[in-house]
Amino acid sequence: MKLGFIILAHQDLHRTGQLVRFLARNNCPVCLHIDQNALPEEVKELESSLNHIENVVFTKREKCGWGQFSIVQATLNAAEVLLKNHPDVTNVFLASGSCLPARPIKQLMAFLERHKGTDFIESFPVGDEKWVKGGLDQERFTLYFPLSWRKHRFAFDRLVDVQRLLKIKRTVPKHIAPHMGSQWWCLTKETLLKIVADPRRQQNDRFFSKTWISDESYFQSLAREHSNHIKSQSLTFATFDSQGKPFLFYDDHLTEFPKTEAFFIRKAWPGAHKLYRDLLTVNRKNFPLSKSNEKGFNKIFTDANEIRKTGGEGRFLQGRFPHNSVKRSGVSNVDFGVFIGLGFLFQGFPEWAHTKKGLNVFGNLFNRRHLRFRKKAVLVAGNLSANIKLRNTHPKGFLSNFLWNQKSDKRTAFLFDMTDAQKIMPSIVKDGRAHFVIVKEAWLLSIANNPSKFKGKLMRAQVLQARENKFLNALENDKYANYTIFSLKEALNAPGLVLQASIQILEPEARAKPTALPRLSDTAKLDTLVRKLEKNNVSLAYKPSKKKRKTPKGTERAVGKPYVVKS
Amino acid sequence: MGVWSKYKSRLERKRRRIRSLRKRRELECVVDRSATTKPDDIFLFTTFRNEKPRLKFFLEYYRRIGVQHFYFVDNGSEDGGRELLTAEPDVSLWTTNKSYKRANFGMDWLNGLQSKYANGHWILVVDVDEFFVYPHCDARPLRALTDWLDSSSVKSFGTILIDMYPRGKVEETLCDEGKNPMRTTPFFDAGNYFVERNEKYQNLWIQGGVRQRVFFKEKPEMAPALNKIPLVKWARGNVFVSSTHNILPRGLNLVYDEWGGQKACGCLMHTKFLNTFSNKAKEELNRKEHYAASREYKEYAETSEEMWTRFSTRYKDWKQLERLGLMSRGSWA
Repeated sequence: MKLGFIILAHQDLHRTGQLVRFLARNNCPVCLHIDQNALPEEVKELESSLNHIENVVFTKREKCGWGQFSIVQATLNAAEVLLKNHPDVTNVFLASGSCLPARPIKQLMAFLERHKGTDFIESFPVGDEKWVKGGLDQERFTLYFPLSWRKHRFAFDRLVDVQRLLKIKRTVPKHIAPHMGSQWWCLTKETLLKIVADPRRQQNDRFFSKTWISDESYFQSLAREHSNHIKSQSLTFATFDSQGKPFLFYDDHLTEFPKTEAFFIRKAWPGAHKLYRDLLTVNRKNFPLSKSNEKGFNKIFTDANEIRKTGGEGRFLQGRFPHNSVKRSGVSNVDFGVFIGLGFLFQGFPEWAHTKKGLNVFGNLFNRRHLRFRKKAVLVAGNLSANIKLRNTHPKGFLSNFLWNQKSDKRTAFLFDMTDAQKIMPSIVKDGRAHFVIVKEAWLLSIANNPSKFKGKLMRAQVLQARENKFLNALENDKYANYTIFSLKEALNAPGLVLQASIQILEPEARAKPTALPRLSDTAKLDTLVRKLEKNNVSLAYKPSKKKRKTPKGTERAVGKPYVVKS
Repeated sequence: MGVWSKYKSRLERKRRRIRSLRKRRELECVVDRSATTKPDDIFLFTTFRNEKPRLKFFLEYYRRIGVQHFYFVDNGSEDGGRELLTAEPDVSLWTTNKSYKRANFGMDWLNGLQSKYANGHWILVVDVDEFFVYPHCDARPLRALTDWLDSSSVKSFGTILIDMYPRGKVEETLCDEGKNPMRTTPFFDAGNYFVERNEKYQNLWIQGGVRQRVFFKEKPEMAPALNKIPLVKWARGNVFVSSTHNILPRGLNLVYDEWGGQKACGCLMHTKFLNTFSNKAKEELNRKEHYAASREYKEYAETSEEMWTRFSTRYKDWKQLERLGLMSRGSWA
């Protein structure tokens, strides 16, 4: 077998020269096309460095533009020259001047020998989502594209709109089944010859010269007509970022190449000295194809695209500062719990949850006067300090730093109450990652157990109730909010359910088990307070029981006894 | 953005530019080797004063990542730093004894030099105690980054300034000449940074780190800004406004994504807290040549708290910074 190369070059020609000399040294005839737009001094240098090599021929230089037929024309010219000068080639490989062999050329030859008569050209029928990712599809073949998309993007789009409106449609010649795929292929000599010497070549050329991005459809469509055996796979690895430019390869990718199934990669950064030195040595080691892991190789690039599009959630730093209204503008990249009223319902709830149950629960991070992370801790991982001034200046930043610094394998929750600084409230209500467990009117307990005079209690109740209503309204108006609300009565009657709902958020995998409860707060003074408040026109959802509660002695006993929750 | 605001911004840019050209006359050339530079070289611009012990490693670090020419402005050094630089083959050096403060903390001088020498070049503007860390910096030279930015049609690259500190007393933290100060002050704060947007210039305004935690705990909103844009493809008419925190035209400040994604960005490792610092703090208090009446230095002089805590992080490499969410490779795989 004999493998010929068509190389399309347009910049960094010294690197192209290296590639061509390497291929020629491997006994591969090369036909080189140099873009007319290339720098004249570079072209001169390249030509003089390749002139004496007998395996290398040049073809007429076209002026190539992105996605234009001139690229196809250049390829066709080169194919004609190559087939004329080297009629003994069996396969022809199309590569660009900035491609590099990911695997040794010998391995490629052996591979082609094994797959004799197979054309390796990625070619998906129109409408296949594998190739077109947004943008024009069928219309690439049926509309007119006189403008460059790169240079006149706006006019290009409007022209498409106008043609759609006027229902302008070119007819696709009957013998052409539009296919699309990667520009880089490896065809057998027979197929290529049939395409080049097609009796309908003029008609083909005329049709495709008006097609958009014809370099990704000319050979892809015509090979379907002429080939006996197509494998819809490109032997050149090329992938694109969200801007549509090809990912570049650098020295540090060298260790990754055994993973790819491809034989060539596009494209290499011209400054990657090690890459060029190592990949262009003649006696390279074979990487067995059987050990390839194309997915793993691809992951490098899909991950990068992912980082660009959705990365860094929960972090606000130099590369990232989302508008408040967009998705992923929340304070965390994992779900977290916000427990409202639980601190009043239970005594020492966060300490109990942390020490007894190993849950990552913190106290009131937004307490107005007193801020500690755990017990007396004034610092937390990441050196975030319990500085109230700092927290009040940047409530959202404070919470996002706090959550980021927590270990990611465990969910975090914190207490929040109507008595806290409320500046953070709008952000967490809107946050899709926040899960709320709310005991409504639990603040009554804090007021009831406060020794102050009734007048003060009344004012406080009015303030807290107004805040709570505002908060609950905001929550109910948010479509995506996750919350469970308990009334105070429900919570007092079955505190286990409240606890279960909270634990569910922190450990969604864990099955509900009977569990001991933390100590409930003292409820002895609650009913009296509520009656008094009702008399003063504070209407509450919590209704005191008709009979007076049992004597304080009895209450104490009930509190002391651990409740048991049935699953 | 309204027409009026655009116009105002343009006027401010012109005003700052003219000022920088005027202030450039304060500089006296010691050695000018700019004729040896090539059209696509990457330059570095900086001002310094009495920083001789740092210069050797500074040059070494930036030469290694691929800076081809250095433009220094010496503000009245008396420790032989100027003589050291004069001998280096890739350095152009100017000197002045004029006020640092009245030259907008050195920015006027640099803006002036940049508008003469940097047009069309990628330039790094950093202090001599700042070390630029970018994605893949262990394997790819700076040129790879600037090529990638060029191909993405991006003209500026943002960083966050990370203050590094030693364990123990600053006065006792010695760093010999030519040694890596990131080794002697290896710790930093990983998770206490706070961001706002500066609507006027559209840059992000970041505060936090050890300086806010220790020295500015009583007035956190006064803590120094940590957002910097040190790498810029310089075009005629550009001006830095306040250090490299913001630049005009404003479009160059948009180094961040606003739609829920993340752009590539880096870090500037700030190795201020060496033993030379405490002497400097005393000197600066008398000179009053630093930002906001040397407010920062006042706070340092009055605080004796240890910076290191058990939650401090030891610096390893860029991948660690990326894991901590302080920088990102964006779509640069």
